[in-house]
Amino acid sequence: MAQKSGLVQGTLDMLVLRVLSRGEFHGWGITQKLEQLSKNALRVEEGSLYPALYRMEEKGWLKSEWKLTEKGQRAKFYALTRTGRKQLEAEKESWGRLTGIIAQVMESP
Amino acid sequence: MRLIQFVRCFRALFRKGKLDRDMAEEMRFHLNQSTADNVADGVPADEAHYAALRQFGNVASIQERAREQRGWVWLEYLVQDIGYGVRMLRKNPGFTTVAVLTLGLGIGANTAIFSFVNGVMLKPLPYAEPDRIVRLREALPEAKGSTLVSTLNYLDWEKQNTVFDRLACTDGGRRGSLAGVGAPLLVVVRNVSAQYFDIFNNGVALGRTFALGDDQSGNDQVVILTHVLWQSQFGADPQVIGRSISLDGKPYTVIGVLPQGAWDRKWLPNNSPNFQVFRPLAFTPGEKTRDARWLEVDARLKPGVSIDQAQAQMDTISARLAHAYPDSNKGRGIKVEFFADTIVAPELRQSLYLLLAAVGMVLLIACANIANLTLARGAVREREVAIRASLGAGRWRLVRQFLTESLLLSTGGSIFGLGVGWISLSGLEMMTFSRRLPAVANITMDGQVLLFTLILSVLTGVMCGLPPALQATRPAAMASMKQARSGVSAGRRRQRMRSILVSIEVMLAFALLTGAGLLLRSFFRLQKVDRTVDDPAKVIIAWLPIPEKRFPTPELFLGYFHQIVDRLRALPGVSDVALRVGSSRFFQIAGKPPVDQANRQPCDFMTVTPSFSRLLGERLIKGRLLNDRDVKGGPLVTVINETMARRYFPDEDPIGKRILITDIPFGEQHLSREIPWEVVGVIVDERMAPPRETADHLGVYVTMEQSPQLSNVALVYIRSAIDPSLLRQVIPNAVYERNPEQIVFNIETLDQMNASVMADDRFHLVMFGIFAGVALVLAVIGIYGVVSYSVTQRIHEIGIRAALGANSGNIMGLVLRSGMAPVVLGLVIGLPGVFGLTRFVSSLLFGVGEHDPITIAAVALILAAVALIACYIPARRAAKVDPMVALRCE
Repeated sequence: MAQKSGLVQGTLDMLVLRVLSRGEFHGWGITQKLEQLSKNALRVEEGSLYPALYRMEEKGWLKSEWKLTEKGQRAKFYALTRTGRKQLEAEKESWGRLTGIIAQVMESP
Repeated sequence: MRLIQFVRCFRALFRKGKLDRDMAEEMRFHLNQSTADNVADGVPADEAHYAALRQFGNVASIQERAREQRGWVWLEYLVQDIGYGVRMLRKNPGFTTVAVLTLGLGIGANTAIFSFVNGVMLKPLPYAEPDRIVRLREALPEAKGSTLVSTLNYLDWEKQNTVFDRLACTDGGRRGSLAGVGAPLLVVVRNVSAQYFDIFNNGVALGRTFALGDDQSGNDQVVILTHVLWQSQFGADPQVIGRSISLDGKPYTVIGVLPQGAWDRKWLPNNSPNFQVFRPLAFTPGEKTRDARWLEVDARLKPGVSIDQAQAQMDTISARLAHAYPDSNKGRGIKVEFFADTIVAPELRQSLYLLLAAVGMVLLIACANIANLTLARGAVREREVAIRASLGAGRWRLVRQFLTESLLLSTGGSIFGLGVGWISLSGLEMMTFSRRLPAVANITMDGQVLLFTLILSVLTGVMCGLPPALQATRPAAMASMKQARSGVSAGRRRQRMRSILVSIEVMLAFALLTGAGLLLRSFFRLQKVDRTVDDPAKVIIAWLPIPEKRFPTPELFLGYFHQIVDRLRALPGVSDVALRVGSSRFFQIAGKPPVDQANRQPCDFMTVTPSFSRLLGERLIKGRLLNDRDVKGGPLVTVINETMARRYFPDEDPIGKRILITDIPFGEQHLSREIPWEVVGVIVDERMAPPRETADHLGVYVTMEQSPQLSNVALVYIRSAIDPSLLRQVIPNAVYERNPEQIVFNIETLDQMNASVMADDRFHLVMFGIFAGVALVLAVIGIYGVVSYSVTQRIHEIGIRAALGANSGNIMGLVLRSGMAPVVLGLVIGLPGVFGLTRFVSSLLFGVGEHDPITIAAVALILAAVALIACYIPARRAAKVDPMVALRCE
């Protein structure tokens, strides 16, 4: 239940967008993919994930569709929209800037 | 984008069921995957499911949070909450009825009073651009007030200013008789300068208003009628323009009828319709003076000119005039005020705000009571809250639900309240201040009033709903499903909040009751004031307007009134008749340092028949009364009143001293030479009306023979030897026999006059009495409710105490103590507040200090006593508790 490593506040949206930029996933798939991409270092709480998905869908960053999985089960798949893609670019850029600044501060003598 | 979102949300509202099912399925899928994952890791099947659930967390709660991400979810919740609220309220019809009625009365009273405030003070006047209309007055030196304006000063202001579009003036209006419509009809005749109506600029119904040139002597035989006069006396005849009418015996041509509304409203006392006739004001040579101040001056500011700029320029002009004409203008300034601010009497303004504050307090008490009732129900609903919380409802969501319920109550209350307001509005307007309402006041329940009621409704709902909502949704309450029976600590906390509410109610009721108590005492004081008149129920006063310029000589004038007096005296049942014509004259005392003519004080210069003092039975302090030998040609003598003697002859005997009074020649407007009057007597101050009105009058009485003067109106005093109501019809008939065009109006006894003068005091008392009474009842209900509920809650504890040997006295004391604690607290905390608030009623009081300790103590005692009774009833119930029953009822 606890995060293996605490997510930095406000990064969840960006991470989800990043995962979805690689293709369509259902909720469970997103958690799995995130673990895999972070080499098991990050775990997202379901309690945060679903509200975030609904919120981003509401904002028009994601679209969703009920489809069958490889195993033939019905699941809701999320995919990025065009605005979602732009949003991801924007967040990536500001994240990069932020980490750069933080690194600069931390490494200053 | 916005539109798409909107459409989606709206659709979502109606497809809520499907969306929720989708969400549930999505999460179920997630759990299944998670379980399968666990199984794959080698966890046994049923273990795996629980592990997945544990990991996922509270499904319902997550669903709730996810749902909240939808736009317009609040609308969805609102529909839900309203539906639920209506169900809850229907399930408790008793509570709902009491709450709606209480709030309805409170909101209704507020709506009615606010309608007055709105109509009198907030609504713009019904003229074109009313914020450009100002009134100008002459200001006395040292901010001692202001006066009307003299003709030459007015003409100079008009010539020298550059800030006004135009200036106009009017005399105060005099009563006249309109002939040719059956019995002579009493109308108000006002002379206005040609451009007067251009200042107000709200058009005409027929014809035209005055034009430049109408005010030239010779052209001035034209009149304009008010709409109400035209309708009721001329049958709304459109041919009235050009018709000739007779005013005080002289012919005039009608040239216009004013628009309906603004000029029509009640103007005279006794709510008689506003029959006004306007004539152009043409100054006669005798009126062109600088020291007779008789004009009301109104002006319209030029566009873009502020009132401060106007004031600054008028200051310059007044300084110039004071320098040029020191005799009349030394030290005098000019005061520029918004017209709107001058038409509401300050007393009316204050009395309206006071009433609004009082009803507001009543509503607050009502809110506290509803909150209290809701809190009591909160105990029952604690379990409901806990269940909803564990099913995923957040605190805000629950608070919102509670608030929806109380808002439903207050909405119901408002609807009921609008009805109450509607009814009380007409009642209020009839019984009340209509005497003092400005002519243009338009009291209706319009959009602004409805908006006020709406805002009030929301505020009320929040005030009644928020405390119980916060209380019921404390995190502790939400967490504890196990609390099947409301635990001791939770109960205590709730009890504490209820006690606070009771204290607040007591504070408010204390303030209102003190206000009512002070007004009551003041009212009795006023009634008990020692009137100087013998048997005032037997003295009839009638008003006789004196037709302007009817009497070319003083002899004709005196002869006319002597005939009327003789005729009245001859009536059977009349024992004496007297006459009085009063006006204001400037004076100084002979033998004292001379006073600048511009700064002299005015006195009440009353010309009377010698029978006057005898008829009223006025008490002589010193010297002698006026008598029949004080006639023309004899030494000029005067009798002064106590106030005059005390103020101007503080350490000396006034008898034999002389007062120099600036004369106004008969039939003229201008000031003339000073005439010395020898003081021959001092009488007590007249107190025919309540003392407040006459308290500071500098009274100077002389006989009519020695100083005949024309004024608007002569007052006839008749002492009746029989029932005065029998004379009411006979008096005007006797006058008409002498002159069929002479109007007689306002025939009433001194007692009746006092009653109508005291109408405002009675009105304040009645209103405050009602509000304070309601406040007391509500507070008592609140106290009773709290104590009674706490007894029910503590029945178990009381049973144990009884079983352990506490007698009924101990238990009663226990309950009374805990019940009275918030009451005493409210009184103690309320005391400074009461001291502060009574300041606002002080101007309505007579003979009672605003901090009158007797009143405050009596009110506190009454409040405490009534509260004690309210506590006693449940306390007795507690004392009678059978310990065995109490302990068993677990």
